[in-house]
Amino acid sequence: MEAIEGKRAEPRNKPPFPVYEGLWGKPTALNNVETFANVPQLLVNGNDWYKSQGVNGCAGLKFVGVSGDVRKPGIYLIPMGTAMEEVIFQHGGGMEAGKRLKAFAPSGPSSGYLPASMADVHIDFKSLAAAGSMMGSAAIVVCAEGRCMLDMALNAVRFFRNESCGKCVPCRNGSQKMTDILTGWTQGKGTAADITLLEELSEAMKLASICGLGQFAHSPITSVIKHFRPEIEAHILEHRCPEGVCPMREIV
Amino acid sequence: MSDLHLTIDGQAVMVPSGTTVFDAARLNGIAIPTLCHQQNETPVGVCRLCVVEAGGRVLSASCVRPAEEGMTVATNSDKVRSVRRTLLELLMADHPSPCARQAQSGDCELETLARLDGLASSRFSKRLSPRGQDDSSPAIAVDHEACILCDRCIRGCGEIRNNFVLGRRGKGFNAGIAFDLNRPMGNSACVSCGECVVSCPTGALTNKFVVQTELGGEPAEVEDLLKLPYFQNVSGTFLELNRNAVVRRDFRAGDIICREGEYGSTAFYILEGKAQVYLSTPIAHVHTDGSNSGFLRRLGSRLLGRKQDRREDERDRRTIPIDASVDLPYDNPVAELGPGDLFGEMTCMSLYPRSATVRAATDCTMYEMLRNVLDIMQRNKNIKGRLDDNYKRRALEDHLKNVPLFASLTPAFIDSLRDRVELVRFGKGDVICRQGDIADSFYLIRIGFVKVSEDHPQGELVLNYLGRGGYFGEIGLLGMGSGGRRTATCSALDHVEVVRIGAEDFHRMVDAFPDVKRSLEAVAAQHLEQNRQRLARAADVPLDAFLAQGLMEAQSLLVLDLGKCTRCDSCVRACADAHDGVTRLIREGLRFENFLIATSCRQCRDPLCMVGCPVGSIRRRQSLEVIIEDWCIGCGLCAKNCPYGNITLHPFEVSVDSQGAAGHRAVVTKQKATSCDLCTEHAEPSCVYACPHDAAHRVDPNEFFRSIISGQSGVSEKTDAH
Repeated sequence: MEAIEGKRAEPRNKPPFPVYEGLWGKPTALNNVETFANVPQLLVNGNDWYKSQGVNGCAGLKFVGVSGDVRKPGIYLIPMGTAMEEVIFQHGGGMEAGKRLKAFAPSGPSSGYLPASMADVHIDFKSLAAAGSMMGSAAIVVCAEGRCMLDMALNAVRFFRNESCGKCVPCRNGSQKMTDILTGWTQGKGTAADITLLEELSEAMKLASICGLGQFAHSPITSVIKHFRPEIEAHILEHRCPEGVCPMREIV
Repeated sequence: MSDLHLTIDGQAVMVPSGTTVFDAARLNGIAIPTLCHQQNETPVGVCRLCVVEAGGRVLSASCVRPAEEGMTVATNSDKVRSVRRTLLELLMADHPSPCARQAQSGDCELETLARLDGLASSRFSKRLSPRGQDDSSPAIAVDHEACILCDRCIRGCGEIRNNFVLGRRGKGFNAGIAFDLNRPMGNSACVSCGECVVSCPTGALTNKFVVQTELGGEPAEVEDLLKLPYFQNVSGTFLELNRNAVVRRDFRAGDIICREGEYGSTAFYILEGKAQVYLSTPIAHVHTDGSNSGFLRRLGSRLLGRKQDRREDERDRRTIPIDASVDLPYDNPVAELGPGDLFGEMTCMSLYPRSATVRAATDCTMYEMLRNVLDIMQRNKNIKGRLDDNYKRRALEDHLKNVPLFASLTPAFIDSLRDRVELVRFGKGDVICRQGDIADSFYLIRIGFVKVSEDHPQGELVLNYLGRGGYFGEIGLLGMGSGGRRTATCSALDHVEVVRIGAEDFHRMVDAFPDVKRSLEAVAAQHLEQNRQRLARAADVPLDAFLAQGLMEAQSLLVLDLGKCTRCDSCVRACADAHDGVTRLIREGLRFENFLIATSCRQCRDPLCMVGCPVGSIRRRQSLEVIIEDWCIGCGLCAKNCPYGNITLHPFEVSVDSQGAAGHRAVVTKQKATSCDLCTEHAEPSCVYACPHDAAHRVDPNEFFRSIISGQSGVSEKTDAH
């Protein structure tokens, strides 16, 4: 909306929400392409048919994108409530031979990485929220064994740093400092105090950023610390990358 | 408008609907810390320090969050305090503490908040790539390192002042404030109103204090200044901050206000009274005559004007350019300045010596100001409009007609130009037009120096320096270069103001005045041909580029054969003897093989001597040798600028009107710049004549270098003859 109005592409403070005051101050509906893609089916088959498509007590259909270490990455239309493992192993074709699932992000890195042990989670709003994640766009990222979860988290945090518009302090400065801290960990420069600092920074970014980008930029690393703590601690405390991915020395 | 009831920190409060949470708290005595919010600007909610708990999933920035009925707000919970502290710690990680503001007045808002929060140091690592400083504005210092992107300056510049110069550049961590499309502040459209300085919470934008000795006179009262048409719309706060940079001075009739050749740093604005501006140095050049055919007869130097001693290639302009809105006539260099006139702009902006002496003709009141205040005046649209208008009404005609080429323009035509020409300012280093660009304007220089250079694969070649009264841009417009494109790059060497005449008006002029066109074309063709020849010669001779460009151009050179020279200095003494005791020869200089090139002027690739002459009296002849015009005021800047010591000042005693006593004459010493004239009046230069070891020779450079390159002795008895 800001760009259409000829301004820098920066998020607005909310409220007011766009449905009340949006483009040029007028009520504006902003929808994802996925929402529009559902409209023809609803018009052709009707509301009741659509609702009946869900499984495991859920209603409707969901587009999911499967990417990462799977043999058949792609976009699939699945019944709402389908188990994550079904999507990864059946639709996505599972891992390369001999590799096992290590982690997955249900909705891109901003939903956080969950461990393989939680792959039975159902893809619907409530189940994913209960698992500490979110449904979001359901752009599922799959990690097989051999991936370093710190490396995955750093990659995602660096991406958020690059995409930050710079409007607000927590996201502009926070995403850079978070990238600095994680980069230090991958270079064997971590200290025990870093985890506390990172937690405080995550909290500030989550609570004070203007838009979702800053609010969720911490998710990759906080989820990885929660579910893969020993692996992360090996980097910070022992200056060792268990998967042998991180350089563990300064790269000039 | 209905009232809203909400609870802030346990306190029940009532505010009108439409109030923000920040204001609701403020109105009830609860202060919420903030950096980006000010009462006089639209809130933007970017620093996030004012976040509060208001019942949502995340915290809300209270400055932009409207109060709602029944809302419960916590402004100081543990959660809020912890987030706020982290944000301060993030900002302090990259803050150059103490920043300029903290150092100046101890009230950097960021450092104050951090101190109140007990934050001594930041645990976050410091920024790796510095964002730097911008020192280009004379009035405002910019330290991007201290900028926290609160956007207060941007709103001050835009919504308060309606100037819209400031904005944001870059994104994410590389975002910063920018002037126009990220230009240096001093070269931007900034009018130095000072609103951004007043808005800035940190030391990112601070007022520059001019370090200098105290100006004499009463500091001008801001209220008095604001009454003057020239200071209307200038920020009072800013004038207050620069209080000591502008003083009111009263002069009695006859008082000398400034003297030619003196260094200064101020400009004067005449409030009341009249002042006389004149040159006290004789309008003449140094002429050495006599004969050295016998030892008994000494050579003598005299001052001669161009009427008595016409020199080759001397200019015949009728006026002398000075640092004021008027030029002085050559024949009688006196003019009058009155109320509303500004003089000393070049001295003030670029610290050049005064170009003329100014004496109070009646009792006078003036404002004397330093660079930052003059800059504020010139950047203010209102003032600039008046100054420009003043110039167009009073000076444009003289200025144009004083360029001999334009002497035939009719007053009617100049009248038709008045409202069409544009006065444009350029900062040091700005490119005015670039080689290869489409030519769209013609320029006449009003103030400052412009460098004309060509780009070559080996680097830049300076073709010329132009000062006041100089013009450029005609070659491209006349289509003589390469299809209507610029043949050279013209850039500002210091504070430059040019009169821009658009292509349409230029063509109107050359169509209406065929003789102007013919002269322009003739001069341009000559320049182009010279440049072509010079390049051809430089490419031709496999010498070091500097030598090729410099020495090859000389008409003749003085060389000392170091194999024969015993360093007895007879040559230097002979030179002094020939020029009233002032030697123009220094036995030092470029060495080439076993020869010392001790010649006068090297016709440098980049003739630094010509930059800054307050009266434009030093320039190159067509032959590229330096000529000093009659109106040299002896300030010595060219001698100081010459890296080779080839320009010396020759003192003369002259009789002038005694100050304060009309009719009385006094003898004072005045100086004139001189460089080696190769004793062209004589069969042989005195230094060559005096050398007892046959080590000094005057040679033709082309022959000399060619013979060296071909391996022969550079100097033979034959090449001596000249």
